[in-house]
This record gives sequence, C-alpha cells and structure tokens, in this order.
Amino acid sequence: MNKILKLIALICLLSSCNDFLDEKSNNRLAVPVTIDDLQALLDNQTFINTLRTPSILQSSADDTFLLEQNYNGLSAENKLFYAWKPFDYFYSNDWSAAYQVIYTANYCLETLENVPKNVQNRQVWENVYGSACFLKSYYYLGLLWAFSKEYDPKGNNDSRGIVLRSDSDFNVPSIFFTVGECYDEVISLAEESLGYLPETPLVKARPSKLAAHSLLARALLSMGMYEDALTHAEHALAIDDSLIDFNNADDGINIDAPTPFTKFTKETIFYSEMTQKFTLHRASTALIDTVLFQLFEDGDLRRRAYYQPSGKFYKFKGTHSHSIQSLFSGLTTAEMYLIRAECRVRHSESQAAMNDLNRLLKSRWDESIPYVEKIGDSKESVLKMVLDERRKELAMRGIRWSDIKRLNREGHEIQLTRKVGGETFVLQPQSEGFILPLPRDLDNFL
Amino acid sequence: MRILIVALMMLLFQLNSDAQTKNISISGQVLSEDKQPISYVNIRAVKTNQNTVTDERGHFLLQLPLSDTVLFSAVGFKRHKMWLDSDRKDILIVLDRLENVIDEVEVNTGYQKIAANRINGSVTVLDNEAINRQVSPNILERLNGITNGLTVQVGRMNNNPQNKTNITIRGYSTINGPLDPLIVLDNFVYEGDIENINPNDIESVTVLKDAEATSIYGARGGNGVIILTTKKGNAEGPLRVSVSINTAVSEKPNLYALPEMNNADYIAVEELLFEEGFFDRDLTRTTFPPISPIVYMLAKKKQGLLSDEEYASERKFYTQTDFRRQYTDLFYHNTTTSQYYVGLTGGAAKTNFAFGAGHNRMGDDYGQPTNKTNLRSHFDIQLSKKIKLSLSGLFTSEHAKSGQVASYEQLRRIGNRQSVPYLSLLDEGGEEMAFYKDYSPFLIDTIGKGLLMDWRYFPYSDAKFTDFNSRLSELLGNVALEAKIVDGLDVSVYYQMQDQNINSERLYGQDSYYARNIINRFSQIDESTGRVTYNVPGGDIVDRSIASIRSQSLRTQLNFSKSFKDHRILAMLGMEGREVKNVGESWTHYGYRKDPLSYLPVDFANIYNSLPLRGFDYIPGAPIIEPTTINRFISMYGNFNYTYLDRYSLSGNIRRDGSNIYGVSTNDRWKPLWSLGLGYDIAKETFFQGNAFDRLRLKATYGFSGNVDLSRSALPIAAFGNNPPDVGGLPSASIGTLNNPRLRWEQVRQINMGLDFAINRLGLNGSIEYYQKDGTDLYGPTDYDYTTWGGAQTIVTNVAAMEGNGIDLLLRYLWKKRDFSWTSTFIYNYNLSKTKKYYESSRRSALSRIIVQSGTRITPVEGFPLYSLAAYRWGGLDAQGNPQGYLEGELTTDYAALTNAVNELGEETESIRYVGPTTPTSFGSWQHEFRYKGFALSFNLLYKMGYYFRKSSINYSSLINFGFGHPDYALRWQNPGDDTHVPSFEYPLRMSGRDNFYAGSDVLVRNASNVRLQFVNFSYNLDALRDVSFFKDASIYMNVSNLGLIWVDNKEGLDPDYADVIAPRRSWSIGLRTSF
Repeated sequence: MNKILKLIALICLLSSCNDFLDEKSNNRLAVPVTIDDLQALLDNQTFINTLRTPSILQSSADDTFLLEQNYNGLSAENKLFYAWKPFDYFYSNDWSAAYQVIYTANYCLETLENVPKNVQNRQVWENVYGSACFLKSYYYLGLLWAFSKEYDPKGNNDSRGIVLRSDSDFNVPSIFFTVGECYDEVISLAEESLGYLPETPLVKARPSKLAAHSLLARALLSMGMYEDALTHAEHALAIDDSLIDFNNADDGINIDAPTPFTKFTKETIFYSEMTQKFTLHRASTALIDTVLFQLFEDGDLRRRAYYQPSGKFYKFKGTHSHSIQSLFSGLTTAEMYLIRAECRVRHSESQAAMNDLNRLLKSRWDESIPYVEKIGDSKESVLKMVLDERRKELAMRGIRWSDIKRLNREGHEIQLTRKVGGETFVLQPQSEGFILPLPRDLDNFL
Repeated sequence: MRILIVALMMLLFQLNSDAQTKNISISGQVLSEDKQPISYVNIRAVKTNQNTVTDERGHFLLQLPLSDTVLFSAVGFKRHKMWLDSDRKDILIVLDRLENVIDEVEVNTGYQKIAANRINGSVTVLDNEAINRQVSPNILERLNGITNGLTVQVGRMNNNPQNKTNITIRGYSTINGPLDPLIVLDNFVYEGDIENINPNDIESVTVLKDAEATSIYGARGGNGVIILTTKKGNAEGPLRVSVSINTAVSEKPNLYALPEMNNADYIAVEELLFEEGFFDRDLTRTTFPPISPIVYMLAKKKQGLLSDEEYASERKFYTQTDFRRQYTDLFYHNTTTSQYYVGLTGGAAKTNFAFGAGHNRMGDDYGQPTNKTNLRSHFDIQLSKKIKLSLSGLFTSEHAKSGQVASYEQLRRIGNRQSVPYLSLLDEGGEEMAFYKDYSPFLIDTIGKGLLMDWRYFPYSDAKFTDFNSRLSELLGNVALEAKIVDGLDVSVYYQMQDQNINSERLYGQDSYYARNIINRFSQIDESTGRVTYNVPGGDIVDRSIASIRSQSLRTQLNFSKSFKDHRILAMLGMEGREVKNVGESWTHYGYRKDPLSYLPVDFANIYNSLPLRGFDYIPGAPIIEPTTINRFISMYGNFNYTYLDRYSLSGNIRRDGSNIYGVSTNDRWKPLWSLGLGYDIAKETFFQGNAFDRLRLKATYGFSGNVDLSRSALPIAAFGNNPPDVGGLPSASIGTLNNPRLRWEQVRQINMGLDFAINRLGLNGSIEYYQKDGTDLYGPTDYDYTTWGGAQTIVTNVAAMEGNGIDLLLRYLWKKRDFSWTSTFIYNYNLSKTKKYYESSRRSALSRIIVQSGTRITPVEGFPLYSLAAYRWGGLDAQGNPQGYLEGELTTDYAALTNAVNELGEETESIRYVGPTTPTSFGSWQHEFRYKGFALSFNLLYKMGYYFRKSSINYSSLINFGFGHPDYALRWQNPGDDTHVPSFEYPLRMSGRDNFYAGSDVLVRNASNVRLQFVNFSYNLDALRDVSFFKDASIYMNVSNLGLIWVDNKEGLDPDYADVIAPRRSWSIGLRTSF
C-alpha cells in the first residue's frame, strides 16, 4: 500500500507543477519578461509617445477652418465630420492608437507582479510601475476629452465614459465606465504614479513626478476642480519653471524656420504627439481661425514662430516637435503657468494670476519692442485675459476642445460655426456633437 | 545479395527432398450444438499452416503433410483444437457457440489493450500479414490502400510547416494547423524520423479514427492516430528465429513525364525575343546575369564574334540535343533497396525476450548509398508474482551519402530563364561542356586575366569533387513496471527516453564549382602588381551541422478490470508528462584538409568587396545556433468500458491537456476533451439466434479530440531595438504579436455510427460507418475588439471552423473450394471537408478567391471544400486566336472587365463556375488474394473519384519573362481555322490577363478520377520444408509495386495525382521470409 501512496504523491506532484508549463517553447521568441524588457517597452517612443493622442478633437476644434475648394475635395464622411455630424470611420484610428499604449502599460503592470522589487532593481522597477500608471492616466484623459461628456464637479457624471482596462488579455471583454468613474481613474492613477516616478525624467519622453503633477493639473482643470489643479500646478512649477525666451536662440528656438522648435524643448515636461488619423486640421489645407490669429499683439513673437502666411490667411507651424506633420500634444511649463494663473484668478488671486501671465508673455515678447506689463482691472477681465492667453499659447495642442466643453458647462456659450459656400454648420453649446463618434467597426464589440 | 542467393539455393535444395513427407488426409463436417452445419469454418494446421474452410453444408477436406494440431475456428463460436496423426474420414466436429467468451483479438490503443468486440470506437487493426504484403522500408507507406479511411494525398498542403506524411485519416480537421496524424510507437508519441522504424519489428498497426478512439490522445489526436506495436517475446515459448531478406529495384525517374517545350520551338522563341531586343537589358546589365546558350551565341553573332554559318551549326547542335536523355544516362541509376532482418523471440519461466537486427541498404536515384542498421531488444521480467518489469531499447544508425549532382531543374535554370530545355552536357566530340551558373559567359571568360581559378561549371565532373554525408543515430529506451495491487487493480509506470542526433557534413573539394566560386569571389587582385589576396583560402570547404531531438516521457496509470455476474468493467486512470527538445547548430571551415588535418580561419565579421561585381558581401558560413524549441505536455486521462451481458456496452474517455504552447488560462482551466460510446451486439441476443448474421454489432460514439500547432505561442512576442540617439538612444521594445492566454488546441468533434457484421454462411463480413467530423476553434485571423490592443486590425486565434462527413465501408468476401481460395477486400471511403467559418477581410467574391489557386493548397472560403477548384467559362478562341470568356451573356476578350465582374459578383456571373474539390471524395481499394496450396497471388487496385484538377498549359508571359515552356506551345493557334484551344503566341503581349484567363479556364479542367494498380504480390509457402527441417515457416515472394494508372478519366491520359511531376517509380522486389 505504501507504494500506492507514493505513486499518488507522484501524480499530485505532476499535476501541481505548472512551472513545468511555463517554459518558453522556442528561445528565439523574444518575450519581454525582465524589468529591463519592460523599461524598453515603455521607452519605445514610436509606440508610446509619437502619433498617439487623439487628433479627432483637434480636427473638430475652432483653431482651424477650410476654404471651400479644400472642403470640396473631402470625402463624404469627412464632409460630415467637418459639419460636426455623425460619420463612419474604421481601424486604424485614435482609439486603437491610444489603447495600444494602455495595453503596453497593462502588460508591464501584470508582468511586474512576477518581478520582485529588490535593492538592485528598485529604481527601474519603480520607474516602470510609475510610468505605466502615468501613461494609462494620460491616454485615458485624452480619450475622455474626445469621446465623452465633460466632467461636472457638482453634477452627476453618470453618462458614458470610455473603456477602462486593467488586463492585457484581449479575451477579457472591454467595458465602458461612467464619466465619473473614468475621471476618478485618471486622477488616482496619476496620483499613484507620483509615489514612484523620479522628480525629473532621463528623457522628456519618459514620465516623471513633474509630469504627473502637470498631468493632474491638466486633468483637474478640465474637470473644473480649480483648487486641486492649482496645488498640482504649483508643485510642477516648483520643480521646473523655466520658459523659452523667444528672443534667445540658445533656448532652442529658431523663430523663422519652417519648424521653429526641436523635439524636446526647454519647456517640454512630457512629450506626446497627436495621431494623423484625422486630418481636417492638417497644415497643408487647414487655415488658422482668424479670431485666434487676431488675438496676437504686434510684439508677440509667437505670431512669427507659430504661423506662416498662406494666401490671405495663415497656417500653423509652431508645433513643439521636429516636424509639422507631428503635432505636439504634451505637457509644458507654459501650460502650467496658464493653469496656475487661471486657478489663481478663480480663487480671487488676480494679482498673482497677472504675475504669471506677465512672466509668460514677457518670454514671448520681442525684446526690441518695450513690453508693457498687463494689468487686469477686474476678476472677469483677468479671467478673460488668461483664457485668451491659453487659447493663443496652446493652439493646435488638442486642448481647445476640452476647454470649450468645460467653459460651456460654466456658461460661456461658445458656439462653433463653420462656413462653406452658402452653408453654415453650427455646433451649439451643450450639443451631443461635442461627444465625438466612436469607430464603426467596434460596434460589434462595444 | 549473396546471402539471398545462398538462401534461395538452400531452399531449392530443400524443396527436392519434399517427396519424403507422409500425407494425412482428414475429412468431415462441422456442426453447431443444435446440429446445424457451419459453413466457412476456418480450419488450420498449427505447424504447417495448411488451411481450408468448410463448404455450405459444413463439409471439409484437409491434407496434412505431417502430424499436427488442427484448429477449427468460426466467428461466433469457441475455437476447437484437435490432434491428428493419421487419416480420418467423416469426423464430426461440434463447435460451441460463443456466448460469454470474449473475442480474443485484442486492440492496442497505446494506453491499454482491449478486446475488439468491446470497442465502440472506430479502429482498424492491420496484422503482420497485412503489413507485409507490401515491401516499402517505410512502415507508413505500407498502410496505403489497405487501411479503411486512410488516404495518401499527393501534392496537397496548407501553410503549416509541420506536415511530413501526406496521410489523412477521414479527411481533414484543420485549416491552418498540422495535417499529419499522430504517430505512436508502443506507448508513446514518436517524433523521430519514421524511416528509423524497421517494419520487420512491427507486429501490428492500429489506426484510430473516431473521437472515442482518439480522444484518449486528447489535444493531439484530431487528425487520427497511428499506433505501431513492436514484436514482443512469448513467455515460456520456445526460441524462435525469423529471417527475412528482400531486394527491390526501381526504374530510373522518367524525365519525359515532365511537360517540356521542344528544342526547336524554344530556340525560335529565344531568337524572336532577341530580335525584339528583349535580352538587351540582360546583356548590358552590370550584374552580368547568366544567359542561355542561344542568347549567348546570338549576342556573339551580333558583335561579329560568330559568323552566320557558325551560328547555324550551333543552332543545329542545340536543336538536336536531348538533355533529358543525357541527364538520365549520365546521372540516374536504377535504385536498389535491400533489406535484411533477423529476429529472435523466446522466453523462460520468468522472462521473455525479443531481439531484432535489421540492415537496409538503399541507393538513391544518383546511385548514392544509404545504409541503415536497426537493433532492437525487448525484455519482460517477472520480478515477483505481482510485479513485471519490461525493458526495451531501439537503436538506429544511418549513414547516407549523397553527391552534389545538380538536379535536372537546377541545371535548366539559367539566370532568369527557368527551364531551358535544349541544354547539353557534352559537345559533339563527347567532351564536357561548360555551364555558366551565376554569371554571363561574357564576364566569366574574361575576368581575372588568368589570375583566378576557373569560374566555369562542369556539372558532370563536379559531382566527383563533392562528398555529402549525413549520419543519424537514434536511441529509444523504454522502462515499464507493472504491478498488481489487488485482484482486478494494477498500476503501471512507463518511462521513455529518446535521443536522435543528425550530423551532416558537406565537403566541397577545392576543384568543385562551389569552392572555386567562393574562393574567387573573395579574392582581391592588385591590378598594378598582379598579386592576388585570398580572403577565402584555397583548399576544401566543409559545411557541418548537427541537429538533435531529445524527448522524455513518463506515464503512471491505474488499471481496473473486474467482472461479476453479467457485468464487466474495465477502467483506467493515468497521468502523463512529456518534454521534447530540439537543438541544432551549423558552421563552415575553409582551407580544410582531412589528413593531415588542417584548416584556416577566415574573417566572418567584416564585409568584403567581392568579385566579380564589386559587391559587398560577408564570407558565408559564420556559425549559426538554431533556436532551441521545447515542447512540454502534461495530461491526465481516464476511461471506462462497461459491458452488460456481453451485449450492451457503454464506454467513455476523458482527458485534460496542458502545454507550454497553450496560454496560461487554457492550462489553468479545466476544459477536458471527452467522448462517449455505445455498443449493441444484436447477434448475441437470444431472439436473434439462428439468423443469417453471425455477427451484428451496432455502435455509436460522440466526442472531442484536438490538434496542436507546435509553431504557435501564447506569449507576447516583442522586437527589440534602440531609440535614435537624438531622443535619448535608450533600448526599446515593442510587442508585435499579441499575447493570448486562451490560446488552445484546435478542437475536433466527431460523431460516428457504425455496424459490424459477419455472415459466415456466405463468407462475408465487413463494416459500415458514417461519421461527421467538425473542426472548431481552428486557428485563423479574425477582427477583434482592438480596444484590447490596437496593434493590428486582425489577430490569429481559435476562431475558424470546418466541417466534414464521410462513410467508411469495408467488405470482405471469402470463397473457397478445396485447395483454392479467393479473398477479396473492398474498401470504399467517402469524405468531403468544407470550410464553415473563416474571416475574409476583402470583399471579393468566393469564386474569385478560389480561382487564383490551382487547388493544391487549402483555400479557406466559407461553404466550399478546403481544396477546391473554380474555372472561367470557356468561349473558344476568337479569329485572332485569343481565348474568349463570357461576360453578361456575350463572348469577350476584355479580361480585366471579366475579372472585375468575377471579383464583385462571383458565382452570380456566368463568367465563372465552381468545378469541385481537388481531393478525392470517393476513394478506396479492392484487394484480391488467390491461394492455391502454398501459392498466393495478391494485388490491390486503388481508386480515387469525385475530384478535379487543372491541366497545365503554356503561359506566354511566363515563357517570355521567365523562360517556362510547355509542349502545348506546339499546338498553339497559328492560322484561322486551326483546331486547337491553345491561344496564339504574340510578342509583345498586348492583353493583360489573357494568360491568367486561359490558365483558369474550363478548357483545362479535367476530371481526376482514376484507378491504379498498387502492387502485385506473388508468394510461395514452402510448407514442405517443415517436416524435414527445423523450419517453422518459410516463404519466398515477389512483388511489383507502383504499376501505375490502369484507368483515368481524361482523354490525354494525364496522371492527376502526379501532373507535371515524376510519379513513384515502378519497383520490383524479391524476398524470403522464414522462421525456425
């Protein structure tokens, strides 16, 4: 009988050895499992930073318009799109581009569970963990701005948000969460990353504490939670408050060049680019909104740096990247100044807000023309000045769409209109059209 | 060969002494208990194998050469034994009906041995005699034509790299997965080279077909299972020695079976193309591509280097050469294969053993020998009353020699011209002619100014300078321990280790073209001094590689067997673990000399400015380590078989598999494969007694098995690289293949219903089975929720499906009169496998996707057979010899419009039609064996019906651009009124799509139905020997195999299975089998 017991023990042993099945079936297969593999996945700028944030909301925003002849050259679907009407589009698109980063981040988080943190790998481990959390938060926010209703800090946020995923297994079905849940996830992931990321990054394509604070400031501002946004903008600026002096070529600016900036500028906190899946705003055809262009004053070097003439109008060239095709959508110190200014004025610290504004404007001002300090006489005028400045500084960064939604919720009544020939398309404030359509080929799955 | 002659002479001598034997004559009648005569009772003498059967009234007459035990057996009756030593007349033999006695035929399922009549599943058992009717040294080849439900598909494949055998059992169960059935040697899956198994060592072969039979092999049994059972010794049996010798000779390959354009036509086309300036580009290219002899001569003529008369004489020479004849005479040999085998079995009280030693010597088409030796041993040792130990080992050693003879196809490929038919190896004077393999003669004849080695290629003598050797050794060791625990319950543990190593060495002598070419390429000439630097040193070049497979398996199993009253239970529970590891590497030595050993290092790391074209090349042959593959499996399985009253039976299997190929969630989840079977033996019912049927058994099974594609992985596969320096230069990685934790085996569901019957009175027995075989969870692309990844629009996962169904029918008829008997076995199989579900992203019509394939590859289109054929409707040739199709009811030569219509509308247009499958839907064999006394003549007819193929024909764009010719060129339309369907030749080609339309048109479709004679076997049993010598059994035989088609359903007489390739050669063999 003893033998049988031993045999049974052997059988049990065999059945429990799942490690036996963990062996890779072919050693040529490069399966990322080590901490360095994971860091390499997150360092792949082609898959993590470039051409990743939604471009659909830039094509929909009022930064640009099309001339009639260019409109006429659009496909039927793009014509609907231009008029803010529902339209069909398919893979590949903004959704797939952003969720590919989410997948990679989830894969890293899952794999980390099998890589114990120790003294040797602690720094990389924490960077991978923090980066994965940050990237999920960052790309969720971009998707939320495009495909969901804006957050209401006082109201209910039960409308449909986006898909939140915590698993790299495609067999696990995708589920939509509410706007409230999604924004909570964005905030909590970014806050989680704060505890792990280094203060400043090795390269600006990598997340950092600075970037996480900036992301929180950006996210909270778009949620209308100005006090919290202020705190994070202040944290960010405490780490880095440098601005490019547009007069100083040493700061990495070449104002009259076709692309005045390089890939990582002095102001870049975290680098990302919009996809090229939607092209209504593409500089080859799209012209800069005349109202926007008029906002720039004569001594403002941004007019020269950001725009070049195109017939009677102007087109955009001022992206903080190496190429005009790749529109920068990342975080900058200038954006932090603007968030701090806006939060301060809303918190009735108008003077402090004006200081931020003047600090920023002065760095953009032609030194051959004397700069006159701006003075705001009321909270309202200061806010208007800050918001105008925000529109000017952050044009073509994929931010305007969210600003319109947020400000309209607060009663700004920004109505979008596009005119083509005799036709006028209008997008009314609070319209459903502000929630951009999802790709058609996901209908079967979502 | 000498041994064979000696043995035959010895046998003849023995024959002469035949006259001395005495003769015993017995006659009588066989009756059942109720005094009914029993017909077709098999009566056999144990020692001499003399046999007969009873007639309709149960009468028999048997002549015995010596005193012997005679066995009387009939299906449904207990066997009766009787000792006879003198003449007896009118003896009465009464056979008891078999009621509670089980059939003694046992089926080895690889996991257990079970009585044939208790199996509800579908299995075919081939005994030693059936296997030995054919003489191939490959055991699997011997199964063709004699196994119900098994077919050998010729030239059919899918995209899977793992297919080796071409065997399908009951059609297909997969689309992209592996197509081969699982091979099991004794207890374990065999993943070595099947040629390493000597058929003489095989006692029997069991083929498992339905779900009940294969589900015990779980996720790997979906394509069916072939179990090879080796010979074992008999406990307490006397020492028995068996010897077999066999020699086979095959014809040379028939190159004339290949479609070839005649020399004059081909030369005329080249002349025309040359005139039109087609070759100007090749002749002026700085890469100096090789050019065909005629183009070379024409170019020389144009340059004034050759006079018109000289050209005319060259042209005449090439027009008259017969390259096929030259190649056959100079290179091909008749192949001879000799097989020698000695086996020993025996046993004592507590041990028994079996040894086998075999030696095969095979020559290939080029006369190069392969020598193979097999040694096998098997021991059973009864350690105690309750414990038995078995040890066995199989050792194979093979040495194959081959030379570097360029194949016929290789020699005809000259640069861009893929099949130049008019070549010549020898000139008018019988001297060898130079070939220009890699560069134009204009370059080769001038380069190097005499400083380099000769850069020309002489195919005939080149073979002498190369020596290729491949040595294989395989060791397979088994240990088995079987112990009885209590009555009815025992436990067994099996362990197997396999180690196969292949060492290959390819030696290119310094004078071989290969070596000269490499040495020349990496030579550097200093123009000013005339000095040559050799980066690849002179001397021989040797390429070496090693590859090995190592596997280990362990199985533990509990067996339960008990019967009480009318109930019988047989059950088992087991667990198996297995690992298979493949490794390999290769490297090259330069300046090699074997004796005294010397070799020189070369620089593999740097790039060289190579000759003759100043290219930039690395010296080839840097060491390579092949990726290691490790496949691991863990399985748990169990089965039961319950019989009540020996009539009603219920059986079931369950098996769970885990593998490192599947995803983690698949391994973690309990999703077993299972089957259930029912059996009902009507003939054993009391109410059925006395009926015509002596056996009538109904059976039905339902269950699942699977297919594992070893080339897949559930893991995410990444590519590694670096970011550009300007953005930090950090290492980067990206996942290109998505992880799929639920990746699993492909699943095969099978329903089987069958009826086994025997009517002994008529000498008839057989079986008929109907089955449905559906593959689900097959690997295929699919669209998916890309929220989960985003990296691609589709992913490959377990989504596709196919369905098949079929009939397996077997009828065996025995007719006997006195010393003469005729056994006829008829096998009819029907099978059709269709794609049920497959993702297609293009919006093209089904038929437009089928028509681009010639039917040799699985083309998954929903609703159509896996292998299928479509054709354009044919409207004849127009007044200019252009092929015409139909478009909207009108004849047309607008091929683009026709193709567009087909792409969009497919079957709705009348431009195209679906033809049918390209694998046989009805197939089988009809075997006959005639016996008269010791003589036996058997032959087998194979038939395949219900499928189609496309005849090849001339394709003008291939002819012009790639030099592919076809004999149909001679039949082309040339003048109005020509009665032909071959379109006219035009240059330049004006109408795009014309060739493709013709190639896909109806006029080239043929019905592939055919009947071929597989083998004829004649043997003589030297019964007479028994009495005078210690021989127990001896027979000599002659066999002719691959006798070819005897009927085919196309008027050209084309062989549909071997269209445009060389069919298996006719082979004659002679042999001797004996035992003592």
